[in-house]
Amino acid sequence: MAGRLKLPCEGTMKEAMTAYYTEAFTSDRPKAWVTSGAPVELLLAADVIPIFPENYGAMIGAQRLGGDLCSAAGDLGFDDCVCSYARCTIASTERGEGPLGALPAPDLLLACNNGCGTMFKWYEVLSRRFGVPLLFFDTPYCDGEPTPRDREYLVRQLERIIAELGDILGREVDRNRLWETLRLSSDTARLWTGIQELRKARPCPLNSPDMFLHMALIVTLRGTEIAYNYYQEMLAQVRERVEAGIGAVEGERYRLLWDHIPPWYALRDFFGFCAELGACFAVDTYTNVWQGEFDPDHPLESLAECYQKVMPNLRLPWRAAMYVDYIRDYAIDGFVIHSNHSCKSYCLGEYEIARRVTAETGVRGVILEADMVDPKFYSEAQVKQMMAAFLESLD
Amino acid sequence: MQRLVEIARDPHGALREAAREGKGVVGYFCSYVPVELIHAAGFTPVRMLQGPPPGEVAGRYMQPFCCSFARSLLEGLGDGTYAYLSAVVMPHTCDTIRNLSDLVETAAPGTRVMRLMVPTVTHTAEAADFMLAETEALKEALEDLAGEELDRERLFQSIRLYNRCRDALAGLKGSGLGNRALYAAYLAFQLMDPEEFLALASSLSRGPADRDARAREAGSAESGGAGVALVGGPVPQLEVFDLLQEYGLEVVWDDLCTGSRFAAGAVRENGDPLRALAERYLGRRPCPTKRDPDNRREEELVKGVAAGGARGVVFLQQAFCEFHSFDYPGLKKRLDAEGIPSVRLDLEHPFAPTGQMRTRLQALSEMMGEGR
Repeated sequence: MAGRLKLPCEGTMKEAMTAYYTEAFTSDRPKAWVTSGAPVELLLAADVIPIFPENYGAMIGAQRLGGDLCSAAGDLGFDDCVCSYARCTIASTERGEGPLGALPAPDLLLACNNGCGTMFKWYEVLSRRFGVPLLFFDTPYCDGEPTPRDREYLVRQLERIIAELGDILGREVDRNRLWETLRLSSDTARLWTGIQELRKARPCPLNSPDMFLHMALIVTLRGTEIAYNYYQEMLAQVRERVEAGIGAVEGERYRLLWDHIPPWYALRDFFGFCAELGACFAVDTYTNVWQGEFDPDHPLESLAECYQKVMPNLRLPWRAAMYVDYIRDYAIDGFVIHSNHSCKSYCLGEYEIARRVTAETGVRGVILEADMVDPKFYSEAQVKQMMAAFLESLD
Repeated sequence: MQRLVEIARDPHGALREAAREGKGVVGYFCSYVPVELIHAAGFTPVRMLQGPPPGEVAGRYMQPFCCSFARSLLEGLGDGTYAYLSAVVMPHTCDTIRNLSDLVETAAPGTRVMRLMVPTVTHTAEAADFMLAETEALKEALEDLAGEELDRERLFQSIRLYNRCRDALAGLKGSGLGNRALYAAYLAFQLMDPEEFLALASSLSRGPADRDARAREAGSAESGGAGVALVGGPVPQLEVFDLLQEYGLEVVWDDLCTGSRFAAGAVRENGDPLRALAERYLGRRPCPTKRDPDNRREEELVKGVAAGGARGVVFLQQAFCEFHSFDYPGLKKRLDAEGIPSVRLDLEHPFAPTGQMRTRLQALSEMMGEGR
């Protein structure tokens, strides 16, 4: 199996994530469980520790604990059509099991439905389970740009969330600190985008599984010096790699696009298998979600817009156009779509997107059926056979 | 009664005929769409409830893990079953229907889609204002389709008409019509011209003897079974209600998307009509696609069971409906704590009663008997 070529900065990230989880488990500061697409900047500015159950779901998946925990969720009454991130983390909470045991109990919750409607359902379950308040940011489905009524609705909600957060904490959220957090978050997102841009190089310096690992800080700690410093270091190292002509996959033969969250339990196995065949995933839709930049002159308005316009919340024509741009900009030979059993929001429309992208670019794709955490929807032999045949067809 | 049952079973013939005669028909996808607005614009609103069994069209666009309810509707739009529609209104409800709104124009070229971004939050001032703004946008789209402005008085006429229809339906509840007849009336209300519906429903409320005769006419079994409450999403198949009747279960209360959640609650008949519509539609008992900060669904279920004298609960879910599946464990746990037996049936289109369904209903029937 082809090994992953590591960047020197990975040690820094491991230290940062260890410190983050240690603080989350031991600190007396208030803690909030938060969805990955919610405006975490509000929490950071209010000195609340954000905890991301989705990240924990990914860890559960990667450590192959998803099968048992999803099955345990079934015993609690949650059937297989419920998101496997939700299922495995709910079961982890009830059983006290998981890579780090159960996550520390939250004092409050912050959810946004820009990724899917699943989020607020999941967080309602958590709110009732822990008896803590849920702050919810409702982001209407976006037709490219927010409508004036969207903007008003979004900004008024943010004002309400900021006020309610202050009420819960017993102290007002410091607006100046919030603007500073937004500035740092923007600067960090710009670095992340810069790293993504470097993947256009041939050979590609970073394969998608690398990005799935390195995204941990942009998800959890965007808006902090820790994340900003880390991505500065990473950007420099990736640039060096590009200048030295080092590719993430030895003998890069195919440049692919990956769509969706990966099947975490098969991360090494699947992407390693592809790498052995010379396939590098030079771009992916998933890790490009964290890209928003905020306007310091209109911070709340731009915060609202950034969070509404994330990829899974865009209407299909915009998503398809994004794929076409990726294929052209990253010189992609083929695309691989993960039809994720857990995720109707991200997946429904994939068949049509695939057709439109092929019609416009001439580049073909393959659709793999699986799930991000629950391995029972994944057939290793079938997936590998399909990938091998697909890559052969690209020659 | 027979006419209501016919419409509930197959509305397409009558609607096709109406469209041929120049009466425009507009389809809508969920119970959050203000039907009064469609009607006031000169169209017959028809709920999108059941197309043909999912086949080639659905398979081309939708994964098998999407519910057969949505897949069947896309099939019907794509294969021409719904060709009589002048437009479809697609609200933001679940992720499936939201994304489906992007596929309809491709799967059924020429279909005019009007989107209605119903807020997920229903209890805040900004959500109410957003719903109002979206309702205004829908009004403009309908005016554009109709080619004329929609005036306030016409809108109030439609509001009054639909309020009368809801009153007539409320009068049928608990009247011993039997499951099939009652739910045929509910479904027909969503599938036909409201004036005709009002006339038919009013005639059904005449007296107990008439009602029993009409229930028999509708094919309902005799009433008087053990009372159950139903909880779930859309249930367009009358056969489901027959199945319940087979086990002696008579529906006395429901929280169904095609039942009382659709029909309960009048629209205010004064003030700003658009605001009145926005208030009524957001103020209803929330469906699982909406935020429910006070746990109204659970509280009202327990109250409804008590008020209706139900001795058990049947969950009727569309298979693969994630939103209902999220709510199910909490509701079930509460019912268990209250000592109320319940079972869950997952529905697919086409509907076929499985052995598992029968076993569950038999078990419920027995548990209800023990709890007597």
